[in-house]
Amino acid sequence: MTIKPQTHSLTSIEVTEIKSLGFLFQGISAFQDEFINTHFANCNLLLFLNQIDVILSPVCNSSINKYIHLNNSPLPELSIQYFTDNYDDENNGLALSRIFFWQGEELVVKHDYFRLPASSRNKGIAKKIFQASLQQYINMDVKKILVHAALNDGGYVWARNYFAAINRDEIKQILDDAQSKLTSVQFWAVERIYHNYYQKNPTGMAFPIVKWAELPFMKDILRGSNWHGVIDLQDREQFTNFILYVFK
Amino acid sequence: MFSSKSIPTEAAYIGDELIQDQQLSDLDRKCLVVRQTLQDGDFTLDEALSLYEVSKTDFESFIAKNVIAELHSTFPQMQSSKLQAVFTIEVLASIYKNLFSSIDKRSMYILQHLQNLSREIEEDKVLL
Repeated sequence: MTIKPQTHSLTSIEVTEIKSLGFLFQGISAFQDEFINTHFANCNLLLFLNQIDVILSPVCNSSINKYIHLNNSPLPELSIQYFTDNYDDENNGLALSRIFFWQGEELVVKHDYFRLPASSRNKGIAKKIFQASLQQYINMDVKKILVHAALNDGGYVWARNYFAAINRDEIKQILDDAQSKLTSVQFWAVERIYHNYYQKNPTGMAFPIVKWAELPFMKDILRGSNWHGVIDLQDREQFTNFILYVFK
Repeated sequence: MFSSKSIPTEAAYIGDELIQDQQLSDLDRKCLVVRQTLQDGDFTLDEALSLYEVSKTDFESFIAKNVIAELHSTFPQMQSSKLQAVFTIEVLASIYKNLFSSIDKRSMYILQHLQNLSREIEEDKVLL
């Protein structure tokens, strides 16, 4: 499966249409089209927001807050927020937040927040959002997707979704936890993966935590873990695995 | 703009939903990781199979499926299944020849058999 990049230039008419969808622009108050075309080239924002609206608006009865935040300092940032007033309600809230920002020369996107009401889970909504998102990431030449894997099994689930772990200290904490809970033979395997990666990559920021996640005895340890993850869209293997589950 | 009282994260059930929707089985996922640990030099084959609880047969089948997928991906969609089969047999013969002809004195029998099979498919004596 390949996704072909598409070019697009946002127009002032499209900005008006985005506003008519109910999105409020914040931060930069004028010439939003120029700002987006300059710093987030080829983002088809109207299409993307329309897709988000079509997919997510039917899942809740209450009114939805829709924001586009544009920030130019210190580096250009584009943030999309889509949420109900009760977004903090774990069972009934709806929230989607995506933040595009520059890390040096690389455009990255942070998967900041995604929550669905319990009644709308396991209905393919997450996949539809990911598919719509990924097309825009390819258009915009986004290099990395970032996620904070934590809370309620997130540490285990995002590892199984091929996100690699960025921060060695966080991984060391999980390793220490494993040492206290596993048998010596089990821990030998876990430590072997850790040492092998960091010996070859002393400053590595993409520890393949999926190797831990698929070890049966690591499931409970990772369920309670907390780490920051990345999908490198330039890494062929990681990207291919990611594509395999986003596109069927 | 919202400010969450809890840590804002991508909920785990979102990731679970993606895993459930994917085309990889749990066994495929394990085999992928076994292959990755072998490529990265983490474990020997026996160690990896034991740790990830994958049988040797299942792993061999996974590798074979990948090779077949790679072969199929090289064919233009318009080509007939007959041409694909003949090409695949020729590739298999080439693989065998490269890997084993120098050590297997009877390799000619296998290569001859593959050649015959290829011809019979071309002549429609073997139906696909």
